[in-house]
Amino acid sequence: MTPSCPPSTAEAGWLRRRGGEIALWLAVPLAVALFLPEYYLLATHVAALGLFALSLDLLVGYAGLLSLGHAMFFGIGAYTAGLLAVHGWGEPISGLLIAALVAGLVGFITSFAVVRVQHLAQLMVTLGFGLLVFEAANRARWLTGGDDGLQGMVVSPVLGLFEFDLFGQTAFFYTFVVLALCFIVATRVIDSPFGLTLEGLRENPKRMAAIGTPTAARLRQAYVFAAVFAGIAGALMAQTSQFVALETLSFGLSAEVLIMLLLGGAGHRYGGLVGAAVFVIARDLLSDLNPQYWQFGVGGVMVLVVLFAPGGVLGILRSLRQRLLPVARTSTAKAAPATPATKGGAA
Amino acid sequence: MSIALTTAGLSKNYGALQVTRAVDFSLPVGARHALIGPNGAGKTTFINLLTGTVPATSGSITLLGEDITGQRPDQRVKRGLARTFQVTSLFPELTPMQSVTLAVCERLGLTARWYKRTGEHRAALDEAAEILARLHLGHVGHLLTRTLPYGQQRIVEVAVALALRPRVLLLDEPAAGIPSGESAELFEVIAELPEDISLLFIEHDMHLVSRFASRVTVLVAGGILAEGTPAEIMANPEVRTVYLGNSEGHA
Amino acid sequence: MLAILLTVLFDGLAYGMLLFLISIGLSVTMGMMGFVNLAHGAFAMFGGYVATTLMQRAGVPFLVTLPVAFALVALASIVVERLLYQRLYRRGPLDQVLFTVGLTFMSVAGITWFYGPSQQPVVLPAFLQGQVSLFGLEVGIFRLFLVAVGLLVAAAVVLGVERTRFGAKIRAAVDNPVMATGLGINVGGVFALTFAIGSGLAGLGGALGIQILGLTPAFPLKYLVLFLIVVSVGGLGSVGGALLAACVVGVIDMMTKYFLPEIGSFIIYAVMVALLMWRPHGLLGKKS
Ligand SMILES: Nc1ncnc2c1ncn2[C@@H]1O[C@H](COP(=O)(O)OP(=O)(O)O)[C@@H](O)[C@H]1O
Ligand SMILES: [Mg+2]
Repeated sequence: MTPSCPPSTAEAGWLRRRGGEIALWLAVPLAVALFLPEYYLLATHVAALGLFALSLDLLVGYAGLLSLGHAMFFGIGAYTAGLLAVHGWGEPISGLLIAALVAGLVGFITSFAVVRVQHLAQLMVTLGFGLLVFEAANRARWLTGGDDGLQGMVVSPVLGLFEFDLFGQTAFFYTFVVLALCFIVATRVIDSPFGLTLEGLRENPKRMAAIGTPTAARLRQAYVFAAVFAGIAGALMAQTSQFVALETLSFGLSAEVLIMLLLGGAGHRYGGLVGAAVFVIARDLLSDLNPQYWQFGVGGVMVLVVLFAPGGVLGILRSLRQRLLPVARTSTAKAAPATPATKGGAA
Repeated sequence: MSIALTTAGLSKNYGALQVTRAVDFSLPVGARHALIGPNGAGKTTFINLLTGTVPATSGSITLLGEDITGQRPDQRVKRGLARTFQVTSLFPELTPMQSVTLAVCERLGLTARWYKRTGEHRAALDEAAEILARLHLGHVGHLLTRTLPYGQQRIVEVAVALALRPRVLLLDEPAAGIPSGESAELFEVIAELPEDISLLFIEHDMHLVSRFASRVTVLVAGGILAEGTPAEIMANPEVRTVYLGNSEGHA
Repeated sequence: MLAILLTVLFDGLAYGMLLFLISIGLSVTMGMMGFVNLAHGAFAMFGGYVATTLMQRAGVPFLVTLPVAFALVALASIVVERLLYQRLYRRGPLDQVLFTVGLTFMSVAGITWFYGPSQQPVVLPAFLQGQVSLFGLEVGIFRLFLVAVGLLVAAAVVLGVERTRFGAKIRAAVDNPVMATGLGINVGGVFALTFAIGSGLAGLGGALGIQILGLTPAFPLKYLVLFLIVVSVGGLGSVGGALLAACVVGVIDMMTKYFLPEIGSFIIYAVMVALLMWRPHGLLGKKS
């Protein structure tokens, strides 16, 4: 009875819409394996950091909750997987699950404090927790190796079959498959009533309370999801590089992942992946550059993107497509906002 | 006649400023009740107190026999209390279809569910589409709310509230900002509300009030000045001097 | 032991005064426009580099460099505000955070390019060096000077905000920008000027703090967290709150560095989180 409403049509065209996506997900690893095997390591980093950025997007882009301390969960996942592998628990998949569990648990505990406050205080509380965990790991040298990083990980073959090789082939495919599985789950989350609720919270928390949503509980749920995905991303990074650097917990990484999200486009399922690819590849290409030039360039790009392309790479692509294909009405209507702006509650 | 909503001694102070003064109010089931009063009388604040948007300083609120004074806004909604806002408060980057679906999903207890697509909750979608169609919004259901004309946004306000299937509905100047000639569509929607919904609405236009309300409460400086049928209120000399006297332009 | 304790306490106060000078502008402007300006530390750094450049290249005396640092940074900040920040007031905090972090990166890299990464020296005039005995306690003259300047500025800001016409406009604009505009106040202009004064004070703090805070291109990133702690714990837009929070942060940071160096910054972060849990709008924040 309502042919024009997107959620109804979404069902009918599912395979058509997802078909291209599935092809893309199969083509990318194949292309890396066939043409760019010397870039396995780089592609692994893109996949792990892309998952990390995706996890942050659930908070920042969808729920409108800005965190300055998200590296905390990445680092906790990395150290959990790392410590397990150092102390004889080398089986990677169970290591991954335990890391997800620990990150989720820490996320659950801290979520009460994070959603208790708003605005600047919320930024500061997320930042504060991140700094506290960083300091704790830095001081607990006996456990973490402090700023020398965690060494001596021994990771068993994946499924007992695929040994982590020197070329990084196993590492890449392992990371990519886990990323794909997490992406499927994240897509489910985003397309679900819960995902719609997060967008409602981003748009107007006051109205959400007025339709009966326990807003704090939903935000906490989103926070735990983000923590779990970030923990998995960190564990992947640790297992594939067999090393955990203290920087995985740092404010610098929390800022970098925000930059990736900005570059790709927040509030879009692929924003984090695209942003991570752009950032990691650019850093690799420009690694010979004087660090001052790199820092100045990153700063300059951030300023320019915020001013002129607030939707990031995907925002640019979207507006190009709209200009070239003027009648893309449904997708226009469903398009996520370029950037999540907090709407000031009207007094 | 049974009672849907009552307040006893409900008060709100902002520092030394008394915005709501010991209001005793009761709304029978199925009522069509108007709340009028000059600007700044505390009408919006009264609704905010009822919904829990603003905590009361003292007094109590009873909804369908249950004391809800200490409950959070979302808990009150779950017990059948819904509202709209005087200043449009919607989801600018969502479509009306998504907004109403959201409200339906919340009522059905689905918003914590993350493992099933919204599209698979057919009943919720059909209901949302039906509400939009009933409110003549079917053809704009897929557009972003922020792109809709203001008058349609006001109707989306009502649609979102109706999706909650409230027992008690509070409308804060539903036609605010719409030119008086163009509010007909909106009041048509209100006239067609199911009879068992108890309705309290704020409205300045006395013609509309006498057409749609069977009882009227006049709020002045945070306290109830008078209560009665529209005819009684219009004839009340006190009301005429305090309220109608200085807002003849509305009528 | 008591003497050491009191000395550290006093050093913490002097340190807190620097934090106050630098943070107060951030607190007022953030409270006013809700703009999350993480580049504020860069203005303080510019003040510091203006001062050292004048002293080293032109032999300008220290005390003279202070007003110059204030004025130059204030002027530069007006340009930045009108040209750039102003475009972002209606954006969400994510854009504001990323934009100002981007600006900070650019300033850090730019300053490194011109001055190199090393610590800048400062030569204090003879009369600000050494110690004096104050109620039987040996305190550094320069630190005494810092406390005096900090209190003077705090008093001037409070008087300026509470007693002048311009201050009344600031208060109106902070309380309700829409209503202030309705009353005929040029909120944009008020904000630009407030922003300039706040940034100028940060520049002054940067110049005064070369010796105690150190001056390297990493300054804006290194101290950003402390400035934000002062602003959030003090309460947005609250002068007294910022002063109180700056003193608390200064003293705690100095105490832990001196007595508990092992725990590092742990305590200060824990205290911040705890205080924000207790009072989400800050110690003396207005909205609650
Ligand atoms: N948060 C608040 N703080 C202080 N005063 C308020 C606040 N909210 C409303 N008021 C005051 O309460 C009075 C009643 O406001 P309101 O309920 O909006 O009136 P109405 O809806 O009848 O026009 C007004 O004088 C208004 O200024
Ligand atoms: Mg009102």
